[in-house]
Amino acid sequence: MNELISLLGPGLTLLGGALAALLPGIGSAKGVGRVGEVAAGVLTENPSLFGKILILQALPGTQGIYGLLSWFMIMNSSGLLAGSTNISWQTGLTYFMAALPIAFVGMFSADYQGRVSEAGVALVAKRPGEQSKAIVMAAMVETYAILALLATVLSVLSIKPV
Amino acid sequence: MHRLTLVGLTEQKADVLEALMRLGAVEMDELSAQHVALETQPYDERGYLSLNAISRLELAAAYCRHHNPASQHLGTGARLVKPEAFLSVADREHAIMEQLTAMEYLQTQIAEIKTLIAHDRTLQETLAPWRSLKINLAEMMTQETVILIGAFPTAEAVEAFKATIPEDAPETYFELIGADAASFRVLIATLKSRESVVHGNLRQHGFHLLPVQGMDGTPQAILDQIFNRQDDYQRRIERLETELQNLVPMGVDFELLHDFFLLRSDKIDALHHLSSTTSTFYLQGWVPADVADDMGSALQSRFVVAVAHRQPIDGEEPPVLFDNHPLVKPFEVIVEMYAPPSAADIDPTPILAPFFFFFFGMMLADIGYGLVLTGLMGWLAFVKKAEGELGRLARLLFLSGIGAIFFGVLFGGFFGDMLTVLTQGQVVVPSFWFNPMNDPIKMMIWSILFGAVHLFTAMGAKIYMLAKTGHIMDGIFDIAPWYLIIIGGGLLLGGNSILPGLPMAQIGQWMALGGAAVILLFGGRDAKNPIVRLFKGLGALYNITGYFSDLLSYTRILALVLAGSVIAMVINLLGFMLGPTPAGYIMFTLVALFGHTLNLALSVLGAYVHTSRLQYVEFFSKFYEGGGKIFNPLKQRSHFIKFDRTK
Repeated sequence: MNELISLLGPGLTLLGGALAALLPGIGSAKGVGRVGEVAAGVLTENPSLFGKILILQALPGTQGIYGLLSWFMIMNSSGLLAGSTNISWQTGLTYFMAALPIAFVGMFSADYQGRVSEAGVALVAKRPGEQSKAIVMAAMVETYAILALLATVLSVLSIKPV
Repeated sequence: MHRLTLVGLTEQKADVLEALMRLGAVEMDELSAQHVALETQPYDERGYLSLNAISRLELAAAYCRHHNPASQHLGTGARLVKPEAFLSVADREHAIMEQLTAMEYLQTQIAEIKTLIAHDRTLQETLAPWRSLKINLAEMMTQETVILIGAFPTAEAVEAFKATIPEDAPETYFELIGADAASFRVLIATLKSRESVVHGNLRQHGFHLLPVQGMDGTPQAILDQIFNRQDDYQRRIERLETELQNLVPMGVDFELLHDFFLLRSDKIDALHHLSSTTSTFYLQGWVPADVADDMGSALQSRFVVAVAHRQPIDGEEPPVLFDNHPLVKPFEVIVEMYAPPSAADIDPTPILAPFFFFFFGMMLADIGYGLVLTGLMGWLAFVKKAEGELGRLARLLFLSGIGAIFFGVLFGGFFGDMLTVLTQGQVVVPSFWFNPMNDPIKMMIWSILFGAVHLFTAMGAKIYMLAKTGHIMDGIFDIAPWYLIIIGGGLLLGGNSILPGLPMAQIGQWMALGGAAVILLFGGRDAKNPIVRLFKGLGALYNITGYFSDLLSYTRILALVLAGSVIAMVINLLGFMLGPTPAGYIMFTLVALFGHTLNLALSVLGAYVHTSRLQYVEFFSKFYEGGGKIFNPLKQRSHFIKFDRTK
């Protein structure tokens, strides 16, 4: 029984880190993918728009990076990255909870940002001069991923491992 | 901008226009569609539609530039040309156009042969599996029988078809000629009277008839013919390409003539925008106020013209021309992307520029990344002399990169913690202020404080604009109280820790309450009924949520700083996994090159996007509307060349 409890701390921590890297990654892949599909279609008509459209496609990709960043912060701060598994189940649970904001907000916001970017690609296809407006509209969605990232990072940094 | 009216003699119309184009200081009004008749298509005197000639010349000139070793260094930049050389091109117009036609003819011929080669290649691929078949493809039938050759997709399909033979067409001869994974090639001979039944069965089992039946010769013979003419094609292409290469030096002439036609077509275009009578013409437009007088006297000294200019009157929307210090100029791009200022706006560029520099620098905040970005963009802007959109963006990022170096020094980042990792902790790049990684809360507070300064500046601009239009009371009652509320709120939250010993929190509390009282009492001052007025004031006070979320929005600075530097740390960590061994250093170089390039690209994109957003959403929403039109004067447009006016 004691052995099981000693596994619970590192397990929960790893689970939190994994979710932080996993869910926003899925969301970003979905978002970047859906923009890419539309972008390829636009490029068949006008290949010179590649540079402008590529930026729009890259936008929903940041959530995946925020996820990786959170994973790293959790692994580093809990000592798992250095090989230590001495984490109490209470601490493990707090790491798990800390991972939730970026995990979920990251996943969903990447998908929604992908939709806005997708519409932005259609806008750029018709009016290449309006690229910056398409970018800013997509960046509005990212605000919430950024807020979630801050919540996760500040939580992780405030945890004092026991 | 001044409103310009010009009247002149029709016989001097073309010359006056040319002078105006050379000055490049007048924007002509667009004439309504009815004035521009359809027959004004700019044909030149030799009858070719010169727009068509322009695009042909553009293609040819671009081809020549790309294939001429002497011109390649120009890229898409401009070639310096003496004005005399440019004008002389008009005399050779006919000869140049003939060369152009010759060049296009060669290009067409090469393209035709390439099509033939591609066709042969398809044929080769189709026929290669049938090489062993000893039948002339043109003789596929006799009086009574017909031969069908083709392929089944699977072995099962072959068997299924064979099973139908005894019943439907017992006279059929069937032979499997060859097979590989996805095609089972067969020859089928049957009676003509059975052909349609057999065809039906074949179709049912996914049979594909060999598409080239009817060509003369056995597959082997056709393949040999293809093989033999390959060399011939290649030789012809080589000969044509040599001829084409001989024409490549003509590219300079193509460029000159292209720009010559372009100028002429612009001029013809402009001529059609003028209203004229038999002996006079009339032009209206805009001219920058500071050059209006000089332009008028310059024209009057050479031509018989009457020139008048005046201030714009209410209801007129003059175009706008930015007039900014060279250090601020690159930031005009950001304003233009949002919307150029209208006549009612002030030019926000000078107050936007320092904040853009500051926020971008904070978000990227790395000495290494800043140096790479500044170096790259400086090279693009000042060595390659990139022009147009790219050039403007390069100059913007050049300055912004300097901001990143500045904050890199303050925060102590050089490609993340590269030096610390490489020296195993012996060298730590010092931070002259503090390291946001160690104290993120402090960084968050500073982000919001800088954000407050940003917002305050925008509010100040709004008050200034209101004062200028005589609505100073609106500024005092609607905007100024927010300074009290925001500063007071800040002191209430953190005042005691800044200046211990003084009752800062109390002072803040009273400031905030005072500001709120002003909004509550005066927010609805246009309402007569005191109760309605109070409710309107309450509504105005509700804006507090807007200001609160605006301030929180600046925490993105912290998030981007963390994202950039943590990813850089991860790259360094991964790269140095093998430790300080030769193999370890090689691996580190590779991982760092790839990883930091990627992180730099993403961080720059992120910093650019989010800095722009802070300007557009938080900053501009407080005072700036935009919606003007950029001044677009009549000028000598050129694509390939630039005049070298040095003697």
